[in-house]
Amino acid sequence: MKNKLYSTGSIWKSILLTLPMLFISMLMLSRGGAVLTSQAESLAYLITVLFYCSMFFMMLYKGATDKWRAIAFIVSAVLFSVSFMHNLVDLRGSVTYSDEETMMCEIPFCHIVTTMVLIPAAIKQTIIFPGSIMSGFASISSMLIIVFGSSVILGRGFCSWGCFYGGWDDGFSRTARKPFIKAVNSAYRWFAFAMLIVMALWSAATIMPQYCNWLCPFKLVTERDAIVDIESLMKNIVMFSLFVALVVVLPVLTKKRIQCATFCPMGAFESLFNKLSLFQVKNNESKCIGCGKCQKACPLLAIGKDNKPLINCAKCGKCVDECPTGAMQFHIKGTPMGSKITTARLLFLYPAYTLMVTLIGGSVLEAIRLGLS
Amino acid sequence: MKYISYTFASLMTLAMMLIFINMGCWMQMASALPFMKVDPWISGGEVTDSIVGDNYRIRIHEAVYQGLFVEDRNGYIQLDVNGCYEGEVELGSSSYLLNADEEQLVLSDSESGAAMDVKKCHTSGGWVVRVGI
Amino acid sequence: MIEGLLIGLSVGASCLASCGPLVISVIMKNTPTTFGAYAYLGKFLSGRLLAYIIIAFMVSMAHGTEWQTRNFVGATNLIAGLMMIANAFIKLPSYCVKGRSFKSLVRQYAPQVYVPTLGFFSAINACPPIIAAASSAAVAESAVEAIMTFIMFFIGSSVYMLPLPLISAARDKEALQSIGKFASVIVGIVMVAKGLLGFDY
Repeated sequence: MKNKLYSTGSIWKSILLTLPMLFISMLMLSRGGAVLTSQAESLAYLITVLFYCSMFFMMLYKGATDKWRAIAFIVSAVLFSVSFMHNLVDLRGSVTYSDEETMMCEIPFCHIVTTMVLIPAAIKQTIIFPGSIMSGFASISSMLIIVFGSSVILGRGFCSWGCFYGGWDDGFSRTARKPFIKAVNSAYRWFAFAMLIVMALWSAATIMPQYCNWLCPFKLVTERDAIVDIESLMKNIVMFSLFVALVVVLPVLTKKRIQCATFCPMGAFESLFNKLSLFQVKNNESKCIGCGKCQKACPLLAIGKDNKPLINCAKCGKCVDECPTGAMQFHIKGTPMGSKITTARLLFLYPAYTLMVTLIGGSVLEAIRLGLS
Repeated sequence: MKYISYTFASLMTLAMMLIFINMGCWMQMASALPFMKVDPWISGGEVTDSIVGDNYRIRIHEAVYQGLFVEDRNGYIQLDVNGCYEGEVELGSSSYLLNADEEQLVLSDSESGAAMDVKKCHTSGGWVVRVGI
Repeated sequence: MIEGLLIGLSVGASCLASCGPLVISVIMKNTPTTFGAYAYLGKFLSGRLLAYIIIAFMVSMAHGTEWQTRNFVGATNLIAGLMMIANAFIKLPSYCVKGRSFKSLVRQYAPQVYVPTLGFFSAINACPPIIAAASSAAVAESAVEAIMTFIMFFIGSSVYMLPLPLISAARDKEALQSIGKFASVIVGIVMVAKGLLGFDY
């Protein structure tokens, strides 16, 4: 069913508007021609470009943002994990990291660590993470640049368009047709901010990224501690339990992205960038009828009782799609409310989708190549 | 005002692409920032001394301590051992007996001779061992 | 004594990182005004000061840091952690005392003692700043000098906590209180875990 408000209305117009994204995908995924060295790679490249462009096309043609974004997002997250874990097994023989990787500073820098390194970086002028500053996969400098650069542009849109973990949470939240737990106390959205404060200070006090050390559930789908003693066993138990509870069970029961909404300190940190970003989701009060569908639809508990998006809005577009009157709109700061809403949406979609294609698309390509060869 | 906003919004796609296309340049700039170095507590600290022989090289790092500012009791000295060595090593005010080759590394207290329980790993460059102090 | 002040000033950031979450959680969860927030900070610090005075006395008597047994530190972490978890659920009154009857005075004063007690138990810790101050106090010639060293250390390290109550000036009080409540629980769980792991079994 087409969302009449945002649909382009014609296939040809949608194709025309998808062409820039086709060009961007081909450019950013080609990595300077490095991917076209074998038949399997060329085929994987083609499939990846077509996949992302077709999802973008559907967003424009059907006019629904969230549904097609979610397909791309979920597939990206799963294939990222496949590619990442395969590379680890290839390199090290297992998905666990041992003392050697830690002592030699060979751990890839994940964007969530950003929240924990800032205070020691400011006070002690060092990065408290066993990674490489410049070299290797996911070096510290490259990930910090990506995090800050994309956050200034998209704000917390990073969580819906760039985070290669969020797709797991998003995926499980869509498995049930209806929520078993209908009412989730919206105050839980502030738990992530409490996590941010405590984790940042605790990590600074102990010179160790403690969220990564003890709590990150996504170690289950990337790399984790080898079980060599009681402490590492406990860490694995905590990690596994949190993944099952926050990424699988609760999202299935509530149809909300519980991990992202309530637990991830990076999500809270990214929320602060919403103040800087030019793009926002806003409620056009002249059109709002107060039905509350946006509140029920929002997977991140980011819409207040007055039906206005809060600071932790991740710009997934679900409320925009669900709103019966078109009151919830993508908006560019400094422009009049309610005018050129399709232009505002389009101007947001291009950089947001570029982030997804560039940041995670490479791993998707790699995973498809592995499947083909 | 709205034209400026639309213009900036239009440029955001290009800005997003430039983050990745120009990554090498951004990384060079970022690495020059004063805080862009791994904390010595994690990396092992700077090399302060070396013991070099015909078939061995031992690099001794500075003592590093856990703590945001203050030196805690909890500290270590890292040794990078390459080759075969059997003899004494002075670390700070203490002396140890080191017996290392390609297969194994044993660090003992020079007075009691008891083997010490140290954190060690074997890498392509030899042994890396951290001695608690 | 000057050495105590200098140690406090140099390690205050460490104190802020370690004890800041406790103070912030209590302030955010309970305080509607900035003045009230400073009152809570004052109460927390008073408990901390009392703890430091007792530590200084014990250090000067023992001439060392033997009191820092694993079980002792584990127990204080456990108590402080449980108090932090409780802080998320109990309602602390404002700093004003109301009522004259014994029962109402107990009801007023007992919660008033809560925050200083939290400050007391959280201060008895084998954290790097305390060890540094204790090492300095251990070589003091008398108990009075050791206590003064710790008092100066307290002043130097507390300076870093002075901006914390300003967080209560944020507009969204409901969000602030929710964050404070959740932060209390998280900090409490961390301290309980630290306490349990710290025991000599």
